[in-house]
Amino acid sequence: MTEILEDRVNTRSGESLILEVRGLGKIYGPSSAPVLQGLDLEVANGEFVSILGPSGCGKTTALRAVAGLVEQSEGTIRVNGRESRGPSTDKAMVFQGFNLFPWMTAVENAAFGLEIQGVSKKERTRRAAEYMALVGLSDRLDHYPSQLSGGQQQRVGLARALAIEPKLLLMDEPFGALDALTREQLQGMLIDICAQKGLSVLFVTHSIDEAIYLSDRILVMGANPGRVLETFDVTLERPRLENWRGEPDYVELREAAWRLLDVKAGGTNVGAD
Amino acid sequence: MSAPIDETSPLGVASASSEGIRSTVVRFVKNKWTLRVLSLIAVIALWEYFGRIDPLKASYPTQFLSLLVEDFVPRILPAAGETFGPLGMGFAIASVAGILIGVLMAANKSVDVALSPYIVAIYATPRIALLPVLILWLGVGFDVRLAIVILSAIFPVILNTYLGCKEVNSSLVDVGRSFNANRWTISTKIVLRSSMPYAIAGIRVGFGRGLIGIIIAEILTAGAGLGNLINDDARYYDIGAMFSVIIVLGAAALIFTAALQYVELRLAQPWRRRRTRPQKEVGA
Repeated sequence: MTEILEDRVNTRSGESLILEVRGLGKIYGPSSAPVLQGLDLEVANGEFVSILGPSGCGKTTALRAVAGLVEQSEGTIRVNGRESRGPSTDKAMVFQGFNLFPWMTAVENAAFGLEIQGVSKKERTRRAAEYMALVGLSDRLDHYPSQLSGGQQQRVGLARALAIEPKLLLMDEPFGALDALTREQLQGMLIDICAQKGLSVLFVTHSIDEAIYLSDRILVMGANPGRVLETFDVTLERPRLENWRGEPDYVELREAAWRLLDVKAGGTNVGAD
Repeated sequence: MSAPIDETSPLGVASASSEGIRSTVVRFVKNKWTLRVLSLIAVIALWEYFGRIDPLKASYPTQFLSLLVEDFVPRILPAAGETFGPLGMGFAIASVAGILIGVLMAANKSVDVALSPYIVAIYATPRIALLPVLILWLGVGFDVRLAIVILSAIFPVILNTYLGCKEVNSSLVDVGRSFNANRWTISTKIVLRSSMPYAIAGIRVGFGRGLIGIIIAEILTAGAGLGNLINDDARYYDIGAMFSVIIVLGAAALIFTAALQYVELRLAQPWRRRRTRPQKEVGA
């Protein structure tokens, strides 16, 4: 396992890395077990990387540490070559629970990151509206979140993150709270937007299929302590076809990921949807 | 009603149309405005009837309503100014200071620990009990009325704002943090904004408390204001005049409370302002 990782570090060190995490550890108290230990990961420019793991393996903690919402106990996080401590505007997060402000309209929500940056109201509304169009919600600008479906709310969440034009997009099980059909629609939309904008994405999920469908590379995590068990390159060609689940590469990858999660994580809480 | 009678089932048609009349009547009777108007008429009629039995100790609607019209400009309006002046001012001070203290307590653990015992203790004590000593300190004029309004109104505002800030969804705070917002921005744009409906509800309660406080102060100090009028009228057995004052007081309180309730609702559910209806997601 370690050879694979070191191999990866070497092969990728030549490319421009958007995110480089080394030896990330998180422990909440002196007497408690570490949530994360010695976690290494990197995202190259334009790369889509998923962290796949069972509930409680620390994948969300890892993502929140990268976002700067949680302070790591050890290790370094470098975003775009600079050491990153705390939140910054070169990364943006999409949350599992959408987390829109109920008192703001959709376009005001989408403009929130720009508002924090002090962009004038006129300018930020214009830019947010562009991203609302990108996620297909031009006709919902003045709706409040409570008037939108879950799928629409998460599109606003995505527009809000994209509107600040981050170097790195962080997504914490963004489609986990949606029904299966809406989830597939949003996955398709995300792939299109990534291709169009050349986004670099770190994506957390517990769904093997989702990870395979979206990613260039998948890190499979195990729990106690949270660490990377193995890294897979997804060799499925892009654009991924309608019947991508029928391709041999997919079947093989799915088998490997499943076995890893099943054995190493004790086979509990692993979603195969 | 004039439906052609079907030869084959005349009974069926007849019962259907009487059914229609009945349901219209039921709908009319059960309409909340019908009920309100009917109950108002009943209350006024009963009051009018029983009020006339002992005119010295009671009054009746036709009497005090005509007195209200007669007295409004010369007598009630100046007194209302004396009451609502300090009430409005004290209420404004209590609202602003209450929100500030509530936010500070929620934001800072030390402030919370230091202040909360006093606030809880004073909130639980009837503030009216302080009135005699306030009169001793501040006299019987404007100051004592302002003081009792602030003391009565501020605690519900503090406690509600505090509670609202504590109840803020931490995921929303995460959004602010993830966009690198500073503490001040998070406190005002997220924490304070999402606790506003709570704060306004506190202000609404505070207004009611403040009104009680000032009327009692006016009755006790016999200085000025609507409370003083009520007290005077009752002592001179002028019950009709007394009720005309109470009606004004009640109406003013009702209007103000309704206005606050409206603000509260708009802050909590801003989408109600617009005529847009929720729509189902269409396509991808």
